Amino acid sequence: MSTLESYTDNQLLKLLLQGSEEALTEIYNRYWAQLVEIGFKFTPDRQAVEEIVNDIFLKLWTHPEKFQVRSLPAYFYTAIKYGVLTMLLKSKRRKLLLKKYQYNILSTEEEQRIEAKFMEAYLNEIIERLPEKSRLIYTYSRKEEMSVADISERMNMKTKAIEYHITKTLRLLRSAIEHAHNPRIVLVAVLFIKNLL
Amino acid sequence: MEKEVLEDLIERYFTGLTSAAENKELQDWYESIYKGEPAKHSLSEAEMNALRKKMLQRLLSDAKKQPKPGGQKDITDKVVNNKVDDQSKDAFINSRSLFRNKTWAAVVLLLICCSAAVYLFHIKQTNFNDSVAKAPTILLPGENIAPGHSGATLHLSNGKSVSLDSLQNGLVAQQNGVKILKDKNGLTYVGQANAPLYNDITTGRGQQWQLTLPDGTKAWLNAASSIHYPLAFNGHQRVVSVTGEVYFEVVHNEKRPFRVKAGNTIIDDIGTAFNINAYPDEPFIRTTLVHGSVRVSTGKNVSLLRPGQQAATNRASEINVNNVDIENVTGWMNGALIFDNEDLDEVMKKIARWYDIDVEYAGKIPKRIFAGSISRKMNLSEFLKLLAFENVDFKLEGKRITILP
Repeated sequence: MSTLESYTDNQLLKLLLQGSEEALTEIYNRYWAQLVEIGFKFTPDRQAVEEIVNDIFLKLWTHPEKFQVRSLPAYFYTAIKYGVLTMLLKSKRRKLLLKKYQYNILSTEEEQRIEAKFMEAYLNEIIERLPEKSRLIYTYSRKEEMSVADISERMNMKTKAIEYHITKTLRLLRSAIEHAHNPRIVLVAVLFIKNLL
Repeated sequence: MEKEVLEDLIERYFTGLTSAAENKELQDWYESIYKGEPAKHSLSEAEMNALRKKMLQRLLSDAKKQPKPGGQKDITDKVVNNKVDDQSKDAFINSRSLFRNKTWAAVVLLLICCSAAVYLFHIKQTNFNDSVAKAPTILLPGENIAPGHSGATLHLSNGKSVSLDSLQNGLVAQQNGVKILKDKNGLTYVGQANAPLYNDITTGRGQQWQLTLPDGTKAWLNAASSIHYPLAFNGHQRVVSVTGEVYFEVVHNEKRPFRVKAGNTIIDDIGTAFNINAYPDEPFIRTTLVHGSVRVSTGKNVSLLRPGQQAATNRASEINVNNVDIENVTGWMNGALIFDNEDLDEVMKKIARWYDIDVEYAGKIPKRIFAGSISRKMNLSEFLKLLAFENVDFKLEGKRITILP
């Protein structure tokens, strides 16, 4: 039925960025079964699985620019993992709730922390999938904080080439990082309180 | 792993209180299930299909409620709207049926407030992101770069120049008894001059223009082109010279043959409509005959073209004749940017001329062949979408586009 069947994931992401519901549907058709299958491995609770999987697609819909990094499988792998872990955390909180009258299941602060962790894990996923050279250079440069000259020596490559790899990788990651930490949240909170008064 | 140990581990993992070993332990546990046995659930295939449909419906309806990428909804509208509270209340009650005891009432109320708060907070956050943080990214690259339009500059023989873009219809100039009028057909010459005076019309990048020469011959100039012509064709030959891309519909006159000079190429009309593509940044000067007959010559060679044939003259003045699809060649006159199995460099040259942008290559020019067309009335973003679909990486800064390797 869908005319988008022949599109690559990357093309679908581009369409998603323009708000195409057809693209969302096509991505859903491609990945739904896998995600639900994984969800059911961790819990028999159908409602919980529905929640997790729906959240994953919805997040992709609301912030496609975050995940415009060429690999939907990488996104889904990390997203389902975090969905499952968060679900388990919630079930723990629910038990606490019964015991202690603790009123909130996950605080927004906690949600943000999970979100940040998710982004970190997601970026690591992407880095792991980079071509060998780009990945090595990125690791040397950012994790081991080596200088371009040092990397150039170790890899026996021109400094220009090293710079090229770093730029390319950073560009790839930038769109994903952009919204991971949003200092404006505080501002929003203030606005929100104002609205209540 | 014990359930409670696991839950404790997850909680600490999210707070960042786990050791590297514990992280690995958690990851290993996750992987063991992730890669382990197939899921055990009691759903039949039909039930799974139903679930799939139901979930898609829910997703699409949730997606509609979300501020759509590209759309900007009013923040206050949503916050003031009471439905927000109802929705979050419903969602809350649906997802948890733990609260039956009356003594929980207060807790439930508190929870509703909190979840409403979280919900509103979330909405504010996404909306805010939308309107502030996302706004610049939502404007697609090139959306603010308009296509070319009708416009040109007229260079009079006395050295004066007149921009024709914003001029009202009517008399533009008068030279040697000849009136130059702007009308719906571009520019028209009325009257007979008796001195050998020349005018030039030039279009810049992002401009196109049409004019009627003193003999009634019509010429259409594509972007970044020019035509040099006399105020009156008095000799026994009508001679004009052009650069860039010009389409001619010549009024035939056996006594005064029409001749076009384009670089090293001379086109002699034998009653005809033809297109000349003679951009200095192209390797060939291409003359395409639409109907009639023309003779294309250089200092060295001569070719007679039949309709549908194209003569390509190279820098060495050699002429190569091929059959082409006329519609592809003259598409620009009908408001289309047509790419007829062209490589990226050719495509980008056309784009640069029409959208008045500069094109650079950060590395080698990616080897791609493009076929297709877009409207010349679309903003640059339409074209950039195509590029993106073709997986060509690019970067747009102002009016400079850099093609990345």
